[in-house]
Amino acid sequence: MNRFSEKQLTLFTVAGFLLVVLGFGALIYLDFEQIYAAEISDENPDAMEITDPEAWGERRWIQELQRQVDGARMEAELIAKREQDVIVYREIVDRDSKILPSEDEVIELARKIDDFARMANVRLSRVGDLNTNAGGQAIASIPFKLEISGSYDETLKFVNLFETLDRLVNVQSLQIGAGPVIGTGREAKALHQATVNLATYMYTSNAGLAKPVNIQNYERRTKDPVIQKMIRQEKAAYVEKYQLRPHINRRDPLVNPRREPPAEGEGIGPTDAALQKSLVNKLKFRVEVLKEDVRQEAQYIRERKYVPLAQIRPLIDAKVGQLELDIMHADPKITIPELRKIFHDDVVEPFEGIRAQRKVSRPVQIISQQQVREFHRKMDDYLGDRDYEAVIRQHEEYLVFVSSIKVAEDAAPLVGEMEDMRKQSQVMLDFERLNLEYTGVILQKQKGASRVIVNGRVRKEGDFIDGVNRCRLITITKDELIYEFDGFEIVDPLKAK
Amino acid sequence: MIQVNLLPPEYRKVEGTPVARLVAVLAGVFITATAVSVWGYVHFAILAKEQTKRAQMEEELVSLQALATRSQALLTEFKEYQARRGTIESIGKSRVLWSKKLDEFADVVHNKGDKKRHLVWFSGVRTGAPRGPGSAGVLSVDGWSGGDYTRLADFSEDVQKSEFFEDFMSIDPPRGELVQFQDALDPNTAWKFAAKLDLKESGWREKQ
Repeated sequence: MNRFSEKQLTLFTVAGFLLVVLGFGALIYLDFEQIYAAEISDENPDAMEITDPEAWGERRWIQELQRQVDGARMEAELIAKREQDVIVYREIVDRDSKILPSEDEVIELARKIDDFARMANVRLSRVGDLNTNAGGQAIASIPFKLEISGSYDETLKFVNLFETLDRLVNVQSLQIGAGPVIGTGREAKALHQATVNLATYMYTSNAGLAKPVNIQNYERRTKDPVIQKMIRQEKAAYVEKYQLRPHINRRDPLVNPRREPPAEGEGIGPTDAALQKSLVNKLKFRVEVLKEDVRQEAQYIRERKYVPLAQIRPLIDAKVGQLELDIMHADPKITIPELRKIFHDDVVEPFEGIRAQRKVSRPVQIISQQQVREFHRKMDDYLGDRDYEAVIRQHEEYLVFVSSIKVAEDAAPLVGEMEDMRKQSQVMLDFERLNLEYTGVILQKQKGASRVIVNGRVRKEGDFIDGVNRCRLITITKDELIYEFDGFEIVDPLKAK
Repeated sequence: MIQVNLLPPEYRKVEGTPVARLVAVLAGVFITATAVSVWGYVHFAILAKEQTKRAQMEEELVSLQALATRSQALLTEFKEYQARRGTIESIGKSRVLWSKKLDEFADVVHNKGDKKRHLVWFSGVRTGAPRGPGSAGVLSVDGWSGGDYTRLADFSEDVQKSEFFEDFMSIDPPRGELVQFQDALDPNTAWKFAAKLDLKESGWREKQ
C-alpha cells in the first residue's frame, strides 16, 4: 500500500484546515455584509446614495427606520397642538361664516328684492339669475344683477337696504343714468335708470373636506378657557354697515337744477329777508330745545329713571314729527344763500342726526276747516282784484301745505271752491294771453249774422278765436262779446277795447 | 543496515506524531475554532441583535405612522379652515359701501343748498374696475358745471376736501368744454365735464 509521506500529510492537514477556515471566513464576511452594507457613517458618507433597499444591510435599515420613526414621532407629538388648532379654527370659521348666507338664506334673499323695491319706492324692471349652485365649494360667490328706476335718493335707499343686511351682500358695481322728471312741484319725481351688480357668498360647511377628523371630547374641549381665549383673540368678521339718513329737500344730483331767471324788479326785499331770518331762528331755537330734551332723555336712561323717561319720550317723538314737517315746509321759503347755510348747518343737519336715531312715525296731521278758510279767503280776495296769478300762487301754497297732511272732511266744500277759483284764474290768464283786439263790429238782427273783427279777422258767433279751439265766440252784442272758454263763460266788454 | 525488532509489537515503543503535523493540526484546530467562534458570535450575536432591533423598530414605526397620519389629517383640516377664514376676511375687506359714498357725494354736490359756489349736475354716475395698481376701483361721473370755469374748479376742490374723498386716492383734474344752452333757463352756459376718482385699496384704514 502506498503511503503518503509525512510532508504530504502535513500539507493535506494544513490545506484542510485552511479550507474550513476560509469557509467560515466567507460566512463571517457575508454576515458582516448583511449587517453593515450601505451603512452611512463618517467613513462612508457615499452610502447615502445607495437607495435600493435590496442593497441595504441591517444597520442601514435601522438608520432608515430610525429616521422614519423620528419623523412619525415628531408628527405624533404635534397632535395635541393640531387638535387645538383645528378646534379653534372650526369655531372661528363657524362664528365668522355667520356673516355669509346659507342656501336657504340666499333663496330668501331673492324674495326680499321685491320688498326692498317697495320700501325704497323704486321700480324693479329686471332681476338677473340668482344661481344657488355652490359647485362643491365651501364659499361660493353668488352674483346677481338688478335693474331699477327711481330718484337718486331712492336708488341709494334700495342699495343701502342690501348693504345693511346681517348677511353679507356686496355691491360689485353700480350705474345710475339720468332719467326724466315726471310731474311738477312737490309731486315731481325723477326716474333715473340704475343697474346694480350685487354678489353674496354662500357658505356650505361640509364642502371641500373629505372627512372631518374626529376629536374626542370635542364639545368639552371647546369650553376650555385656553381655547376660548384663542378664539376671542382672533377678531371676528363683521358686516360693515351704513345707516342712510333721510335728507330733507336735498337736490337730486342727476336732475338739471337750472331754473327760470327771476323777473326784472323781482328780488328779496328787506321784509322778505327779515321773514326768512325769523323763520330760520325759530327753527334753530326749536332744534336746540329738542337737543336738550334728547340729552335729558339720555340722562334718564343712564340714571334708570324710567317714570320720567316714559313721560319725556313720547313728547320728544311728537316734537320730532312736527319739526320734520315744519322743516320741509320752510325749506323752499329760505332762498338767501347765507340763511340757507345756517338753515342747513344749525337746523337740518342736527335734526337729521336726531331723527335717524329715533323710530318715529310721522303724526297724522289734519288741517281744519278754519285753516282752509284762510287760504280760501285770500284766493277770493285776489280773484276779486283780478290778480289771477296770485290766485294760482296761493293755491300752490295751499297744495304744498297739505302735501303730507289730511284735510278735515268739513273743509271739502271749501277745497272744491278753491279748485274752481284756480281753474277760473287759469282760464282768465289764458284768455288774456290771447290779447284780443276789436277793430269793428257789425250787428244784425238775424241771429248768427252779426260779425266782429278780432285781431284783424272777421269772426261770427260760433267761431273759435284761438288756434287750439279752446275759446269760442258765443254772442255778439253792441256792448260786449261773450265767449265760452274751457267750459267757462267770459264776458268781454267792447268799450274797454 | 537492516533493523529487525524481535520485541512483540505490544511491547514495542509507540512512535509519536511528527512534530510538523502536530503543529499543523494544533494550529489548524485553533484557527478553525477561532473562525467558528467568530462566525458564531457574528451570526448569532451581532446579526441576530441587529435583526431584532430592526423588527422592533418596524413595529414601532407602524404604530407611530397611524398617529402621524392622524396628525397630517389634522394639519390638512386646519389649513382648509385657515383658508376659509382668509377668504371670509378678504370678502369683508373688499366691501365698498357705495350707498355711503354716493350719499356723501350727493352732499358735496348739494353743498347745503348753496348754488353760488358751484352748481353741478350729472348725466351718469358709475363704478368700474381699477385703472392701476393699488386701487380698488373707479367712480366715473359725467355732467355739467353751471356758470364759469372757476365754479368747476371750486367743485373739484370741495370734493377733495370732503369726507367723501377720504376713501379715494386721486381725482382727475377739472377740465371740460363750454356749452351754451338755447333755452331761457339760468345759468345759460355750463362746462361739460367727465371725471374719474380712484378708490384706495381695501383695508387701507387698518394699514395706517
